[in-house]
Amino acid sequence: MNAIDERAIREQLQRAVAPLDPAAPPLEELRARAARRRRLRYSLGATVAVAAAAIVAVVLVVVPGGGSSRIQVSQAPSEESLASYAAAHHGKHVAGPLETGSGYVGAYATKNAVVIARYVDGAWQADGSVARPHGAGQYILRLSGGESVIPGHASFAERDKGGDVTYFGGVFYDDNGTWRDARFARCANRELSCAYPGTGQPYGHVVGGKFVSIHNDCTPYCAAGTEYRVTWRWDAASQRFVVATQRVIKR
Amino acid sequence: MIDLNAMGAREDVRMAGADDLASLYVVHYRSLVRLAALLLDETAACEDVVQEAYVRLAASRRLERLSDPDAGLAYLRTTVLNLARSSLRRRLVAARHAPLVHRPDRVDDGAISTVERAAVIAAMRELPRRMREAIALRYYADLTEAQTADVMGVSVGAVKSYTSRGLERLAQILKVTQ
Repeated sequence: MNAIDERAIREQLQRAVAPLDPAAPPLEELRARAARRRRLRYSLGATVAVAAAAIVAVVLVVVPGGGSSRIQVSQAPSEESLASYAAAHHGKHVAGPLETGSGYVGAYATKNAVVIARYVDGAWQADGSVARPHGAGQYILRLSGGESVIPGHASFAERDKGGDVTYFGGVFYDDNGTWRDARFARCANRELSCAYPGTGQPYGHVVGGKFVSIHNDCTPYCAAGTEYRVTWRWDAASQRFVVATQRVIKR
Repeated sequence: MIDLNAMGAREDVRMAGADDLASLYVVHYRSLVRLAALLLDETAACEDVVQEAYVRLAASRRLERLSDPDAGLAYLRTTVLNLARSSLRRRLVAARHAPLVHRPDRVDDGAISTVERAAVIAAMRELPRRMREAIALRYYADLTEAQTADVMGVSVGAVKSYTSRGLERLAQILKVTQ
């Protein structure tokens, strides 16, 4: 039972901040500040890209055998080449390269999306992206790849960390040329929190090639809740993850 | 919650045919400043935080890519919350003493002191950060539990827990101070 009436607290909060009646400054002032910030960001990005290109050029020219290693790279791209490409596109938390039936792919996180890059003719190029609803870069994405997560598809497991206690997890995959978020059987949403509605701190990761999540039912509250470990299996017929096993790991 | 001022402003925007940012600005600026006042320890910094959120939204050009107009407001709310959480708010307060642009439109000190004298504001500031955020988003911004969870970056279960315990704590504090 709540110790205070919800309607009363609504009214008190509304009344308390009502004296704040700011006249918004001209929108043009904020637009000008935004434009200055964009210009600064672009100039910094260009500087970093030029510096990265210069370093790569120096390495290829100066390092003995640089020429032959470049041919090798065109066959099997290095993690460094993917990292350089991601850095030049404001990406972080790089995953890959991952060898698939249709060549090498990699992934990296930007502020509001996970971008998938494909290695074509000796260079990385964007192949698609999956939007992240939380956006704004407050989440740390940790990506791990493997065709075992969704058999037959290039796929990456993802862990989003928000704040200091909450974890989400998900998987995105190459669905015949289109990158999609994998769905879970118990809901029509990509998020594990939807797969187990009402649970707290869903946490997804890959163990032994299987996507596993841990859920807390937060009953009576999260610190004293029951934790479940759920192993998910990709069901090709319904094109979504279904529960393979579920067991209690902490009461 | 019906905000008659916001309704009027929305009508103005529709008539003026303004773009999405202008629409978000006219309709939601005031309510976001008030939300920030509930989240921050310093009422004086709430305008800076909200203006910073709008600048970030404009700088990111996110609006041009959004298909859902409500997503812009969700972004603003999340940014206001994050700015309120972060140490940036302290820098913004410091920067406020040497503003680049003179702003005669800033909330006057009388309004700030009136807000800070309110018992419920004092009580809110005694709550742990997450409880305060959950209460402000649920009962001032009128968000659903799912929307609150999304803005705070926590699960719905956690929102329920923060809200329930926050209300209890708030009642205790208000009882003591009355």
